[in-house]
Amino acid sequence: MSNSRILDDTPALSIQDLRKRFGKTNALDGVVFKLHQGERLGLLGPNGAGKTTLVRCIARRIRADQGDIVLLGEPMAPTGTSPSLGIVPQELAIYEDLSAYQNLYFFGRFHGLRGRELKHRIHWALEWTGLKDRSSQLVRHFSGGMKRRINLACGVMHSPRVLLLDEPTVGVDPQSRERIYVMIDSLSEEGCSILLTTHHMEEAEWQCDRLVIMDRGRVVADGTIDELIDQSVGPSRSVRLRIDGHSLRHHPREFGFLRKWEPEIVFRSDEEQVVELRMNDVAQYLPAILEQLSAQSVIVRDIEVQPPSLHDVFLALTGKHLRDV
Amino acid sequence: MVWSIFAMSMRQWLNRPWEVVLALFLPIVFFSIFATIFGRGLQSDRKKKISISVIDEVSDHQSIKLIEVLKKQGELQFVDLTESVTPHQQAKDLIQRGEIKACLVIKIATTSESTDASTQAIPWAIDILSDQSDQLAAAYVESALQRHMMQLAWWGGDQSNTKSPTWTNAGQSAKMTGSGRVMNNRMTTAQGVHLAAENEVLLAPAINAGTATYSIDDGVQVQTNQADQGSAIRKQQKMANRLNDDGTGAPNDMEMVPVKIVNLLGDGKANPVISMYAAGIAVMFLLFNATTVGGILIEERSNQTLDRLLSSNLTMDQLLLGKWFYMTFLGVLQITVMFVWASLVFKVDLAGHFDGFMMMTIATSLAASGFGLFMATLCKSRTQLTGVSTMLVLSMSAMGGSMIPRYLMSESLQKIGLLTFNAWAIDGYDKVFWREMPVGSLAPQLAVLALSSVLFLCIARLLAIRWEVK
Repeated sequence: MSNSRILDDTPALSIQDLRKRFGKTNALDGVVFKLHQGERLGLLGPNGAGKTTLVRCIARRIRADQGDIVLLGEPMAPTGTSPSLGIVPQELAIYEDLSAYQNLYFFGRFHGLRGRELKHRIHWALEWTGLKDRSSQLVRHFSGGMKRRINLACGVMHSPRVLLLDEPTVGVDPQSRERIYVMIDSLSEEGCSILLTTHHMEEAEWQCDRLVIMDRGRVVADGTIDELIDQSVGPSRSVRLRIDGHSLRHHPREFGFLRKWEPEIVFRSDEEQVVELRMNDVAQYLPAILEQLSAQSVIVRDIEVQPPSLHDVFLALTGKHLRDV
Repeated sequence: MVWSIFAMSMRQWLNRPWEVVLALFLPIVFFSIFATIFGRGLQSDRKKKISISVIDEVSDHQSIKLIEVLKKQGELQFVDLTESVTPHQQAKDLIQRGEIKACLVIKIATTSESTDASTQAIPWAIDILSDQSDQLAAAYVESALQRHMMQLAWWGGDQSNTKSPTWTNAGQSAKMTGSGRVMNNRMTTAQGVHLAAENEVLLAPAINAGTATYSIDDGVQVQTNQADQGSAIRKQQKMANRLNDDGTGAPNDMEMVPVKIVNLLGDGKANPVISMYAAGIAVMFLLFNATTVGGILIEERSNQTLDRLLSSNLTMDQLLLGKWFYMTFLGVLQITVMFVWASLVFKVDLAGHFDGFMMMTIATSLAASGFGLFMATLCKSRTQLTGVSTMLVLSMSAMGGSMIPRYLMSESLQKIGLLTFNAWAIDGYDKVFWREMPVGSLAPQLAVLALSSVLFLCIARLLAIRWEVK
């Protein structure tokens, strides 16, 4: 972005009781949340949760049955688009038979840019994506990561104040992913508000200021990662014990002193078993557990203590069963 | 493993319904179209559609009788010439406009036209003014003329005569009854064209066929040989004289009337088939190209580029119009390249007809582009588009004359062909390059193509609504 924006308290995007039915399916069932200005909000949910429908509603590609979408304080019209909104779809929505420069040029024109302004934005986008040296090369010859970057650049040519990013790093290597997040960081620094949908829990946890988790067309959790942890799994830690397989003669549940921690074997072989326990106060309970295991000749090879993650929160809120839609 | 590959391939094929349809249904469609064209088309309706006019400069009782007989047979449709002052010009105009296929001019023979003045009792010659773009019509008219003149020669047109001579030869089979009403004529296109090109003298087909046998029910039989045309003619005359001598009362002075096919529109031009096929092939590929380009729209939709485009300042109207103009430009370029090639290699006069060519090309390209957009917005996937468009384009091309000239089809098929814009486009190009008609005469073709174009575009726009906002 060329200029940092002055931010105020008006939400960049406000979703108010949004409802959409497809036949008998409630794709959106009263969705409510806000994206604040300059914020990076992660939108998570299992397949069929309604994320795509929601994004398409915001992009005015689907007409909601009920509810409002307010963009920068202005209710969006049921049809038509806003120049303040940028969209980067999950698919590579670019022309592979055009060069990087030509893609940027035409998408810039479609967003109303002309003349010097257009030229300036193309140069900015080429610098931003690190593709200045490849600007004249056809996109079809680009790697997956380069295509992703151009895909992203085409969505922000018109300097939108609110950006919808749908899975921006799907199918790219770690280096490209890192680069894409550097690019997104620079947008955030310029004051662009970003709604990011992703299935990468780690990315969402690291890259987003706040998270909204959807399931079955509804928002089931909304807050920062700490707030979500408190709302769902609480402060409990996951403790993983790597145990010598030959020394463990019974299922961990058969040890009475372990039952309290709901032991679960997450890995098992003749050589080794990994037992997971969940507890709130590790410092208090872990030494006693180890002592009792030792007394029963169970050899513990390694201990791993993990704080609750978004992954735990997500599974706690949406369950572990498959969502084949 | 081999069986697994076979089974897997079969399963994949069955899971692609459009491929199944294409593989099984398309051949049936095409077989039916061609069977209709060549089966019923040439045999049943052909006689009804050849319209001719007659200019009788001689106007004696023989010529009047000949015309009467021709009219009575009902094989040809006669169009009266109204402008008696310049009937030749009127006939030429009608032929040029394609309203009649030929005009018989019965005239006094010049010395050069008379093959054997000493034996020719009637000093006539007959010119068949024709349009060689329909290569069958003139040959057919000539053939009919020959048969009826033979009939007059043998029976004097007396339909109550019960003698039943049978005329057969290797290339042609015709059975004539005494009433002269029943005639089963079997002649292939190639033979018809051959006759049109070769026949200079009445009764020549028997000679050209190599060996012909004329058997009359009184036992008279004459063999002819191609190498001896004069001898054959003399034998025919002898045969006719013999009939006369037998007391049938038939005049025997008609069989030597020279008949000449005059190609009115073809002087100094490339073969009409070339410009016709250039147009036909161009239109067919224009349609294929338009549907291929239209497929890009489906790709844009499936990879969400359409969503991205429509969430910019671009509207669906602008998108479709932009694509329409692009496809039209591409079509114009495609046809122009084809005709430039035709003019360079096959001597089609492009420069001399550039205005009409451009009008027809733009109108045809607009229509094809509209069709391409219609197909693209109609279909849900690229595979479906490929299947449906292949079937439609090939069917339209077959019915519309891109593959087979429409004059070879029956009247009903020709009318059905007018439902395709291939037919209108080819007719338009035919007017420009062959008939050399003024650009004003292209109005019907241009109007139909322009209307088709707008109609397809409007339907495409309506279908595209579902892509805008759900």
